[in-house]
Amino acid sequence: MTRNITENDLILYFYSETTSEISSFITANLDKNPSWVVLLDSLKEVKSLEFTNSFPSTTTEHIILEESNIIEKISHS
Amino acid sequence: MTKTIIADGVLIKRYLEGNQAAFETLLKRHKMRIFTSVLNIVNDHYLAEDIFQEMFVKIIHSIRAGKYNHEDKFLPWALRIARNMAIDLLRQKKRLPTVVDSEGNDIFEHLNIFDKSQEELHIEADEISMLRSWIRRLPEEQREVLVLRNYADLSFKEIAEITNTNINTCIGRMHYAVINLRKMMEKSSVRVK
Repeated sequence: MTRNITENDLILYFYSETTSEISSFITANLDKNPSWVVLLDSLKEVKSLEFTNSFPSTTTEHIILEESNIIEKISHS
Repeated sequence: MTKTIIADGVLIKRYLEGNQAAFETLLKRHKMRIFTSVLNIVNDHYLAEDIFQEMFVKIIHSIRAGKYNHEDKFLPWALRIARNMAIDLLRQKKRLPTVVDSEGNDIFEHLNIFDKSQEELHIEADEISMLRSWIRRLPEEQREVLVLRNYADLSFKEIAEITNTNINTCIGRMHYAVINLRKMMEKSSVRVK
């Protein structure tokens, strides 16, 4: 298989969203394409940036649960 | 003993049959991922709380009206609603997002709450705020794709559906986000761990 691999292909490859055919092709030709490796390394570095997990307040949660309960009671009355 | 995870679609069916605990399970399962995604998109804790609450009220009404037909794809559906609300609210408020913590304080203030040396606190705060500022400085559409792919773990196809664009546009935005973040990282003395 010969193929012109685009940056989009590489990004999809990184996230395992490409076809198995393209994935195999990229894997087999990585060492011949240092520019591919540069992009993949950048994607890896960005992906390693940590998002701090956050949570809504308990007040917000209670309001939502109250709302779900009220509507459930109305529909069953 | 392995714990069986009940699928989202099943929880919603049970909720419709009158099982309130099923809805509570659904909320607890997804609240962190949804809230953190929204917060990283709007960069305002109070706004994120408003959106989260309004979004779930809308979800409850939609489920009750029989409008949920996404089987076990609850998370992308919820994030789509949240994202549309975020856009509407930001346009209404017409202000630049600032980063605030859960108390409403700017994260650049109030750094001396832990038992660490001032130098350690400044370094830690520098790193945290630097990472946040990098993401915050991205254009909205790039930040959105970054958050939805890398944090909410949605596929590019799902992101395209949520943002009413096509997959290639989403991938392009991710590419630009990566380019821009690398530039910021290279300029900074703070290294990613």
